[in-house]
Amino acid sequence: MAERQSASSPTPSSPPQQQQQTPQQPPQYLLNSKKNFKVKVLNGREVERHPLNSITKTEDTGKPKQSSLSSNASSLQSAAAAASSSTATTDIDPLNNNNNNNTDIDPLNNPLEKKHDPLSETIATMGGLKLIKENHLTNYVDENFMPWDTLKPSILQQYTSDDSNPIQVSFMSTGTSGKIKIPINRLNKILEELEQDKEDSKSTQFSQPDIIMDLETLHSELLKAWAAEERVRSLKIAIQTAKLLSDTSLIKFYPSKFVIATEILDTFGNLVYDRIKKRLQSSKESKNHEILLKEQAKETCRNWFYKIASIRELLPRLFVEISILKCYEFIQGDVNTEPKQVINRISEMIRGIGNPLVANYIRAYLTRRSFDLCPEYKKFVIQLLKDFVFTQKSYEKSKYLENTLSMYRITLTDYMGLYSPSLEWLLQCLAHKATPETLEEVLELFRESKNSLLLNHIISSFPPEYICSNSTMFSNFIKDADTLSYPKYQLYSTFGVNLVLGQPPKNQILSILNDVWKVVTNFENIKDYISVAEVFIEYVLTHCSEKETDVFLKDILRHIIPDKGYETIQSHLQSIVLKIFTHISDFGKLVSFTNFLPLLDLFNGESQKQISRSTLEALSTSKVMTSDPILINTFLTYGKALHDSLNSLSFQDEVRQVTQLVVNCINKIDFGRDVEKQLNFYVECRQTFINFDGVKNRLVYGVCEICEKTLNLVKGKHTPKTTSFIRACVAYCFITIPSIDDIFLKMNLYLVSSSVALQNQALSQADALLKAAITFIQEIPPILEFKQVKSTEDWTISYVSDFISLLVVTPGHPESGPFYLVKALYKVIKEYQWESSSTAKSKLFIQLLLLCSSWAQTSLPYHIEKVESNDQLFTEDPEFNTELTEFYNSLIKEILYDLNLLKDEPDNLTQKKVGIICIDLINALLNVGELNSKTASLIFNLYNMAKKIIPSTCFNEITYLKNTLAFIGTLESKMGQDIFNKLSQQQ
Amino acid sequence: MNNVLDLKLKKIDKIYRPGSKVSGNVVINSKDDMSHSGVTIVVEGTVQLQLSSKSVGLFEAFYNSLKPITLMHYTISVTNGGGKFQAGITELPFEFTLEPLPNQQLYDTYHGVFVNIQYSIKCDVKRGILSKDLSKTIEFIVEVPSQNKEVLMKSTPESLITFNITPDSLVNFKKISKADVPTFKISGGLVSAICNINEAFQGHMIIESADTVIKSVELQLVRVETCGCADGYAREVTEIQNIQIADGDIWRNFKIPLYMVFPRLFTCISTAGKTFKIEFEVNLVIMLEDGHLITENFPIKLIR
Repeated sequence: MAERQSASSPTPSSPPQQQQQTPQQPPQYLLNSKKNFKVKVLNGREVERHPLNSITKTEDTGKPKQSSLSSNASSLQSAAAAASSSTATTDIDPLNNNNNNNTDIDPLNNPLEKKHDPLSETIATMGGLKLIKENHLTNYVDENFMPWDTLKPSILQQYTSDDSNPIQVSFMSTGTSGKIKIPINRLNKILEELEQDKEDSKSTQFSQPDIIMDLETLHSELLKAWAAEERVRSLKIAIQTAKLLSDTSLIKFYPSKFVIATEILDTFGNLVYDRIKKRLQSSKESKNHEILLKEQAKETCRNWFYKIASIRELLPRLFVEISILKCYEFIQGDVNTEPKQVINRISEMIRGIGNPLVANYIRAYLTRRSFDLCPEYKKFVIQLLKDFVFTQKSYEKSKYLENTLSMYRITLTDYMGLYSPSLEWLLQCLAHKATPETLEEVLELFRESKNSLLLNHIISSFPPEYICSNSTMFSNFIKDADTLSYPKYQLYSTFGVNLVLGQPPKNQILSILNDVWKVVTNFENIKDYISVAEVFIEYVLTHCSEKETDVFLKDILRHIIPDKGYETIQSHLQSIVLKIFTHISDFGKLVSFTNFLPLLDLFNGESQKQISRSTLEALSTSKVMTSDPILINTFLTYGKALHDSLNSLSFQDEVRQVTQLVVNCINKIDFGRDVEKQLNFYVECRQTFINFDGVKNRLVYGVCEICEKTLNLVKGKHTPKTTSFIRACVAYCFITIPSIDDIFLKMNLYLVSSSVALQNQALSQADALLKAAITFIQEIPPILEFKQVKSTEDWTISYVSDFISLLVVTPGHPESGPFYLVKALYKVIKEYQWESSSTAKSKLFIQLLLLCSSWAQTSLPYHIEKVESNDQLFTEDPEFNTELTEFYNSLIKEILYDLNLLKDEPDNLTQKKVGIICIDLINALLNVGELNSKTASLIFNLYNMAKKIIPSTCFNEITYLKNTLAFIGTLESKMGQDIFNKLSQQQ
Repeated sequence: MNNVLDLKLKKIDKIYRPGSKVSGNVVINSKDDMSHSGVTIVVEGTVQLQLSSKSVGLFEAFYNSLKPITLMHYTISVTNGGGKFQAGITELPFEFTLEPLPNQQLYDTYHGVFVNIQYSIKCDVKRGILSKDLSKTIEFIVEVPSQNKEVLMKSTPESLITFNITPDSLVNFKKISKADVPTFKISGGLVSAICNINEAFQGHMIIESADTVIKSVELQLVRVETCGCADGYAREVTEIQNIQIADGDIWRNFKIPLYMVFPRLFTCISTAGKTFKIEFEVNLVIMLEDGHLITENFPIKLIR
């Protein structure tokens, strides 16, 4: 470490080296051969920290490039594993454990939740009756209750006569809102109608956008009229709005129209309510008038109701009265204003609406508004449901249904589906916190009617626990239900969802399933069958054992395989498989199901791709390492499918994700001590994922890892058998690496695999790898153009520096000589297309100088065990020394030549860089060279040059220069002192 | 206007019963000081009778009985002679007891077509010769409790009036012969024919069967105003309001409620004076798709 510092840090602090005066020799730059390196055997862990490595961050700067294609963690891990000959690191994060504990017991959470909010209590006691009432409502509703606001968007989405255009309403928060422009002539027309207040509804048919536009106009007009204090006009607008609801000509749009129109009515109702309420509150200011004002408010309220009561038409009268239903609380005590009584009355009056669809929606509206007034009151809902059932029953006797269906050209299922939102709302309000008696009453209603639409909504809105504990009964209900109003398979689906959510009694789990399946398995339409199966697979997964799951799958297969039925139901199958994956995380267990893999085989096209992906995801998240052949086979099969589904046109990001997925899976497969099988597996993987760079990268690392593992197993001494295995491994690397497109990945792999090869005494192969690496250096592009132009210089410098450090211990080529690789590298660096005015070449040559210094020592600073490095091979060889010195001199010459070229560059940045090179070179020379006259004069010149060239604004560099001078001052040799004196005199 | 005169009653709904005290303020809002020569209030209650054009000239004798009947007439002086009001708001309280003139009785406020019963308070500010007198009139409402309390037993099974409408029960055929009437059976009931005016007209109706499509079912509230004396009288029937209770071809055997709130001012308790009578009736109108109507009439008595 000390050496490294002195070579690169601006403040050389190491003790000066002993100089050997050799005046008789020709003036030549000479290497100091007596540097006191601490000789040590390199063991893997220290590979990344060696004396010559001038940039400490090399490993780090190299990594991110890799990680662009493979996960950071895995590549780091595998790199570490490849380099480490010791036991595998266990990565238990102590913080992690802590975290887990923390989530379990959070000291802050629980007490707070249980505590009553003291504030709200006091407010409640202070604020009198009204506030309590409001609180009451919010208290009553819990998270199980789906509020109307959440229901609205789905209704708007589902019920439209025009599927291509989503319904947009500016005054509703749902959907994309925007100011919708109303054409002037249309506006006038509507307004005229308003003024005339025509009794007859228009005979012309309106399109859906027209109606929405009308409603928009009505809403904005309502707000305008209200703001202008034109109450009568506001009321007229509300009436007009309600009138729109009597028209069912665009029947598929009706539920949506209801949603939008009631929104306007709500606005109206709230405006009226708020105004009266505000009046009551403002009365506080003057006590004297309080009673008077209260009376006034009541009077206003009564006036509203009187006005509404005289609306001629039934439907608007009901809608508007319901919209201001809440106002009844102001005139408590008057006759006929008791909320329950009012609600009962209105619910009876709804019977007067002839159109059953309109009637049912107004029922829903009544339930909704009365829920605000008294949420606990449920009795009337039962009455409403009875009325609904009554009208449904009446279909059988009259021709109404047939007429309607033919009139609107709509199928029965579609028509019945229109009732869904209203019925759902009714039953939800009813079932929410309902007593068992109430539920029983509703069930009784079903028993009488056998109406399957009703049953469907009963099942979907009753608490799942209730359904589960009475599952046998419900199962029978479904069997009994009529097939007229709702398809059976839907009933089973709804039923299944509830069974999944709840917990059926243990002893009934199987009997329910059998009961249901007896019916379902005989469904003739495969789509019906599979949509039930899609729901019930979850039931089986949640409540039953794996054996049942397998049986269940078998049944599915039995149904869908004949006639290639599976081709039309891919999305259902996909959801089934996904459900299985979420429930069974142990992939090994899944594979053991005899019917699971055949199911996976049924996918094609896009869904096959998705399923393959999900399969791999499931596999990659499993917690245990495995070497199960079936599993591996599955992995390879679906991996291949996925691999083949991507091509050069696929999105980069998709390729990256899939690569990551595959890498994660590979990480899960471990054969333990059976390294040969592991290698075979990697061979297969390479074959399968030939197009994924990231995967191949991982594979090479994996192979390096097994080399190290082998080395560890034989405790450092390879047997003939393991030696040949290692050869095979390295050969694998050698073959695989060139097939990787990404040059950066490739370069790193060469370095890693060659060091692994060296460590495992595969010398000639290491040589080949290094040679290949040197050749490829030329191919590193000087700049990268990805989003922005980026220079690769830093990366190249650090990479080559790493490379040079490996060369320190690489034994020379037996035939081509010790300088074979170094010279090749020298040549490559020299000829590389560096950017103009780059000092990288010089920087690297300085690194090579340091390499020469190491080689000049009698013993190298580090060794690889069982590898004879150049110190053992050549130290005493005079030829070696001569050649070394020659090389050393040519390097210095090259650097000086370079400096000469660059020093005339005018711009500051280059000047600064040149200055740094000068000082770096001085330091290098001082540390590695013998301080003879030639060196001394070179240092002298370099110093002056640096001093001249460094711009005065670069303080760091100036300090560096000063420190270097100070370092020269500390030299004990005479020559050193001479230089110091000379240099300091200059100043 | 520089000076504003207003009358304000203590009761916001302005509803009073006979014998109760009516109190309020005369409010004068003036910018400058204002002199006056006395503020008086005239309280008046009258029954105005009118003949419809078709009855005019039928009986000469009528004209006697058609004179407006003054039920009450008081003049109250609010100030002691003339004086001066300061600039700003001046409130002058007044109070009187609601009592009829001798030999008269008070009736409910009622706004009809041929009979009107109105009560008003008129305030006059006399201001000498140079300035204009100020005057302001407001109406107040009188509600008379029913005399015959005994009929207030509502919704007991005895008071329930049931009805059945079938082709056979029809009597008056217009534009259709009896044979062409489709078969139908409608039944129903009224809670009571004696209705509290503050409550609603209530009952129910069931279409038990009908061969034809029903378009709408409506409730028509009509007033029956009779003017005249023993010698002769004119009876006029006019519609007050008409509200729908069923829309479209409603389901058979479905119990549909009849419910109608009595509108204020246009209805009063059933009243009979010496020369006039106000009564009410409800018609149940079933409109058929072909335009024919089936009507059932229920005379009702309104009480309070």
